[in-house]
Amino acid sequence: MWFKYLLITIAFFILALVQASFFTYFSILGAVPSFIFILFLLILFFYRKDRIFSIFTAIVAGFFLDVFSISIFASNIVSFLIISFASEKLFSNLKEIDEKFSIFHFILFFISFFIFNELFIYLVNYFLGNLSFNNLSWIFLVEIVYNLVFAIIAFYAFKKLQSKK
Amino acid sequence: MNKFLNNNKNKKNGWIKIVTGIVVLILFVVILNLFSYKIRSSVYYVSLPVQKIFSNAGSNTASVLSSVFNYKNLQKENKDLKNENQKLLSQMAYFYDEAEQNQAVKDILACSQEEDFNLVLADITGFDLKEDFALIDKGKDSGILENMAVVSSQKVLFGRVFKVYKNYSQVMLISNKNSILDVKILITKPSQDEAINIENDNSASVFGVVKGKGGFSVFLDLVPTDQKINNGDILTTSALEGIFPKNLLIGKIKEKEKNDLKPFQTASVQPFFDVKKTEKVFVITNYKQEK
Repeated sequence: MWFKYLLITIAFFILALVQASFFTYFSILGAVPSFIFILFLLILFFYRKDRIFSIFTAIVAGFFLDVFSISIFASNIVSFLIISFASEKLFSNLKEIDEKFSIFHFILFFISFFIFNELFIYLVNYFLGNLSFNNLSWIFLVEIVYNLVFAIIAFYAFKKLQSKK
Repeated sequence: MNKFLNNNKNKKNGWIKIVTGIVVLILFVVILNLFSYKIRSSVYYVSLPVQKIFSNAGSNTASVLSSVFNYKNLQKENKDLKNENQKLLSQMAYFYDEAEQNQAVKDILACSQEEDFNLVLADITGFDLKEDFALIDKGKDSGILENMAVVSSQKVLFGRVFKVYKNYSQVMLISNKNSILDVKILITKPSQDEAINIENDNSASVFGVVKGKGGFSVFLDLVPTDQKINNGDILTTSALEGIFPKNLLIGKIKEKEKNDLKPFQTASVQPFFDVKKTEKVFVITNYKQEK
């Protein structure tokens, strides 16, 4: 049981490092893949019945993003917690198609929460006076597409892993 | 009746839960922010060696891949650079022969002369590309302070130290949307008449402001419309804002935009800094405004 929590903490730590150093050299028009966000949403999507695990994941994922970014500390944690609670509500309303969640649902789920997260972080930093923050720009759209490519690949990998279990 | 009362009670309990949750969250955020300096420093201290490995691996992989994919572009770039080099050489010769005292030449030469700056060598270990920030592995322990200039070995300006931690610092690149710096425009292609004018007038320097656009790009602004600027003109720091020493290289004008309705000219600028090809930078630690 505890092994799962340790494993996910280490995974997010490594992803944070890879994201902040290795993958910055593979940016497209300044957009980089956010593996932390992708893994976080995949966990919410595939482990939606485990509430404690979702909240733990939101805190750990948000924490590592906050450490390596210049945004106001804990803004990512709060955003991820909101996403975690919102997705819980969303899934409880979609109970009847519980076992039939497809890539289509995941793409919608991913895009809507990606946009929410971007807007939330931007607004928090804007209103709390973080003057170093760039404004939102069209690069945001490139980011969505770039991240979505990795998210779809990871979705199928997760699905395969789930079916093996 | 009982059902109605139970519903009301449930609603009330729900609201209490939400309010408690929000209060706990706010407290959590405040506490984390109080200790953010120590948390960030500690995590960074632990992760620095691994991050350096990832950063080097990323840089090497990217350069290998780009040389494979951009073989044709490299050939073209090489050809363009050769042409440009020849043009510059002929321009230099022109400057030497025709206008030895020309201020622009003096400024270009000043860029390559050694100045007695105290420099701290630092490795770039990571980026926040979305915000045009870089992380370097030197911090308070190495004498780094906020607002110190960060340059490459060729004195190309990268940005300024924004926040300093115990053993690392965040560097705001000049392409961050909140970055503004005063620049001097070195007129590199004067016409014969202009060259004579410049020769006779030492105050011919043109000044402007370089602003960040995000995504590693910058643009030139606030150049008076009566001043003539050309594509290819070199921009250097003017030291007017008191943060950066003068004559640090910034970029060259890519395309000027003149609009008669506007009181100032603007231009897109090709910056000289290249974060993807630079692993080491220098922090100037002893520059003061009075210098």
